[in-house]
Amino acid sequence: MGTRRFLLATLITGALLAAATGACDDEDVPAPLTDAGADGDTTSVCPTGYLGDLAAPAEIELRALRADGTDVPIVTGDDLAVIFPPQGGRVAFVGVRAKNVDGCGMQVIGALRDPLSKQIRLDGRTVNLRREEDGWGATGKGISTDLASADDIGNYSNIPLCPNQWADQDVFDQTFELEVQIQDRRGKKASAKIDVVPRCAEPGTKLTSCRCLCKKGYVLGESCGEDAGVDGGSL
Amino acid sequence: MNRFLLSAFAVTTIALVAGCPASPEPERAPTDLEPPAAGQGFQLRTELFTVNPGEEVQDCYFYRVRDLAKANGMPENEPVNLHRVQLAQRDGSHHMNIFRVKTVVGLDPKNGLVQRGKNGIGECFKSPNWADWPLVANTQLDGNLDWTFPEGVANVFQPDEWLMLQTHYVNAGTQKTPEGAEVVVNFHAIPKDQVKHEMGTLFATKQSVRVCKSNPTPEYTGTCQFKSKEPVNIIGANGHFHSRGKSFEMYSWDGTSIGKPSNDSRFYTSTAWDDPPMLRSPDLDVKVQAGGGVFFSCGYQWRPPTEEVGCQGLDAADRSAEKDCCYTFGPIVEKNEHCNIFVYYWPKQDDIFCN
Repeated sequence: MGTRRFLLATLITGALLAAATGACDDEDVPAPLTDAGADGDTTSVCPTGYLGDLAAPAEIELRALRADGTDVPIVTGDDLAVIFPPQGGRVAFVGVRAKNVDGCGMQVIGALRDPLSKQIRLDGRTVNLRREEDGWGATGKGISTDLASADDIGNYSNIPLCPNQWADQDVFDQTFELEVQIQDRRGKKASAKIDVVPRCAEPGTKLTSCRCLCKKGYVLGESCGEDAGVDGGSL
Repeated sequence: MNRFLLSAFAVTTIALVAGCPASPEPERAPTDLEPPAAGQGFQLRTELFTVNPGEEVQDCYFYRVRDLAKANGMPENEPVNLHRVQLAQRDGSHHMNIFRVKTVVGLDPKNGLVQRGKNGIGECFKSPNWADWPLVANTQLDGNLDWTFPEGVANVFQPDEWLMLQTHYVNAGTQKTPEGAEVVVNFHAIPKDQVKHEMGTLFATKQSVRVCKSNPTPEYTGTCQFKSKEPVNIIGANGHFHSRGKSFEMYSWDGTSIGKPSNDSRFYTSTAWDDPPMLRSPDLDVKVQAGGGVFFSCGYQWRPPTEEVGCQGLDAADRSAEKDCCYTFGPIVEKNEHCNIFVYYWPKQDDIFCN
């Protein structure tokens, strides 16, 4: 009985202490997504949910945005659009379609490798896939031509390509290797690697600027006729 | 104990017991910083200004190196070899950055030596304006910094270069500016014959970040390489995100691997968004292999916005068609997030920018 009283007192004291030290501050903070479901449990934490068969290996197809904002599949030998993003410079927007994975809180890493130097540029991010009618999940819809819309580009790997202070060749009209890796919050992985040809994909002054910023040996500060882009915000 | 020490001890003891300071000194402002001696450097100082409640003020001040040098007795036609930097700020600073001006877009010193921005409005708030401007020095909440570079290392400025000092003060929910805002910076130079290595800077930023209710713990990763054929030495590092920021990390990186480097390559960790460490030499001295660079990650935890902002306020600032109470990239601390790294290294290959 004495032990039970002691335990009760301890619990009450602990609760009071927790309240007094502000343990309730995090009440509204959602649980971390790393708390994946138990074996066989396909419930998930965002509307997309689990995509496909829990026991089957993960599958992916590579996607990319074109300069007009459309989302297209890419396979080896295809062009990869080099695009002026809100953050300045030039990037490629690379995404995936995937199945047999948890569509919530998935890590997507996109990387472009220069075959001459083996150097890479990469971007990784945690995204929720969108469930499609065929049961796969996709990083984006690609229905907007407004590339400044964060929704269209925020779910893609924004691979930073230019200014070209990294490759031993122009980052346009030459062959590079594109690699994409995914890992869902349960630890399931898949990857794909293809050869692509980056192309400065926007016409007019943006084309001229792209070829200047992305040429081999670009030196920071060299004028390429850039405009300021959209309101980006400070540091 | 000799007689002198004994009497000094006695006086001090009496003063302490009596509760009186032995020699009361007038209270000094944090920005009460003496400039470098004539001919050995120069000082940059903003005016003292007020930040009203609910406001975020970001001002850009321009200085030409030649003018600064001349004003403090340095030869105006010779490069300035910066070897030591002292920074001091009054309370309320969100950040203070000094850049060397490169490509001029919408923020041009010809349009005024002081260009002001308030609550996200103005050219001084548009980061594409300084997308390729290398960082010279920076601090955040704890505004005091006194950093002497390793022996023989200098950041070299040409006479006709422009410097831009950017202040960002916040007087709102997450940060307060209780008194006036002010920044002062001292640049101490060394003679040319003492310069053995030039210092370079690396700045990388993730701007398409989203921290959303239905994706509440996202992590963003990126890389940036030095493109050097010899090893380089990282001697300064600072990371910057806002209040949803949970963990900021930087690693030395081989330039060719996709995965996050091992923990023993990690040289920077910050879990304090409003007072991130500004690591610097001699405590920070990391050698990066030839062809290597920096791998960085920003981890976030979504939280409900303040009552004043609400999800409506976040959604209004979100350019996405599908609203999800997301914090997106931008300057307003209450509504926006960031993921920026600042790295200082030698020997200089180039000033480097990764978007």
